[in-house]
Amino acid sequence: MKCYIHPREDALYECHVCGKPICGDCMKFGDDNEITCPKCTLDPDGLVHLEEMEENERLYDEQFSKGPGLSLKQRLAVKVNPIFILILLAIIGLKVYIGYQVDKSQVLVNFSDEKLMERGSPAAQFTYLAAQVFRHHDEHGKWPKNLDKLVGDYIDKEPLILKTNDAYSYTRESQVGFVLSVPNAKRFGFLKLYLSADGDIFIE
Amino acid sequence: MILTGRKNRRGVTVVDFILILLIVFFGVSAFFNVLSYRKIGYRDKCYENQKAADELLWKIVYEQKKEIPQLNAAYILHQSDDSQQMVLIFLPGVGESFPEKVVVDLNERGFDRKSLCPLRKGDVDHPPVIDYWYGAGRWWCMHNKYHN
Repeated sequence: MKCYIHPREDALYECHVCGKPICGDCMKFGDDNEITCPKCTLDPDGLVHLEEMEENERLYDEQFSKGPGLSLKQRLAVKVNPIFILILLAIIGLKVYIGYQVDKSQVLVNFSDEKLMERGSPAAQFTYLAAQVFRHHDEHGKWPKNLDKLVGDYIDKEPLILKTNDAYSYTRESQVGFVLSVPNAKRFGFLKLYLSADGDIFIE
Repeated sequence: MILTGRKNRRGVTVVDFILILLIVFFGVSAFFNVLSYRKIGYRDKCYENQKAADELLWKIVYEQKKEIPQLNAAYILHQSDDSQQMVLIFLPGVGESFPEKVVVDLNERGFDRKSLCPLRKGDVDHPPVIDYWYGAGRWWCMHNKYHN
């Protein structure tokens, strides 16, 4: 419940005479030491005080939201906190500066299977695949079940031997971890081409 | 602009609230930008590793009396005991019948822990890792997607 003289203040008391709610500022004591509102107080000072309070309340309303002479723009201008504006501008400035520095310093060159197809060789692709198998173990703590598990996070698509439709041979073995090999390596000039989990590559 | 001290009675206004939201939004965004900025430093170290690996690669190719076009692929193995080897695979040259594998111990060459990319997460577990791999005419890093 709000004070009927100061509508923004919570009412703490009730006038003993008229029963209206009043705040602490408006509380007066009547002849019988009972709480009364200024209007019901016979003391002429109370009436003067009431006039002052009503005048203050009117000025307050004029300056803030209830003021009939203020436009929306003026009201907003009153409420903008300049410290917030400064902080916001500083953060945006920092963000723009760092973003510029980051963009300036990096050139994204994506590696792709297509690049290997254009410029690489079967042995290059083979070792790249092996590196991804190691990476999978490094990040997951286990060897991939098959090479298809590498698709997405490590390689773009299903690994096929360059310029063929043949798949690599990959087996997980309990003793040596895994063996990755190129079937029928003779077509690429190798008798054998395989790699084990200790990173040693065997070529003949 | 505060006209009177009585603004305190009104608490946080809608405009203040919008400004706070903007500050939070741009602040979080700037924080991630700062993280990206820090990664630039890591990437620079990664590029230095690649350059050092490339210089060593050329030296080894020269020592082996081979030529770069003969180099089929190469990679650097980093073992969990911090030993590191560079493995090079050469195609058969003129007058040669078989491809050749050359393994160089990098610790003996004074290649001090440059076989690990600074962008990688965690230490090397028991099996070795390959962070740097040479193929298609250049070095590639498995953790750094930016190559300059």
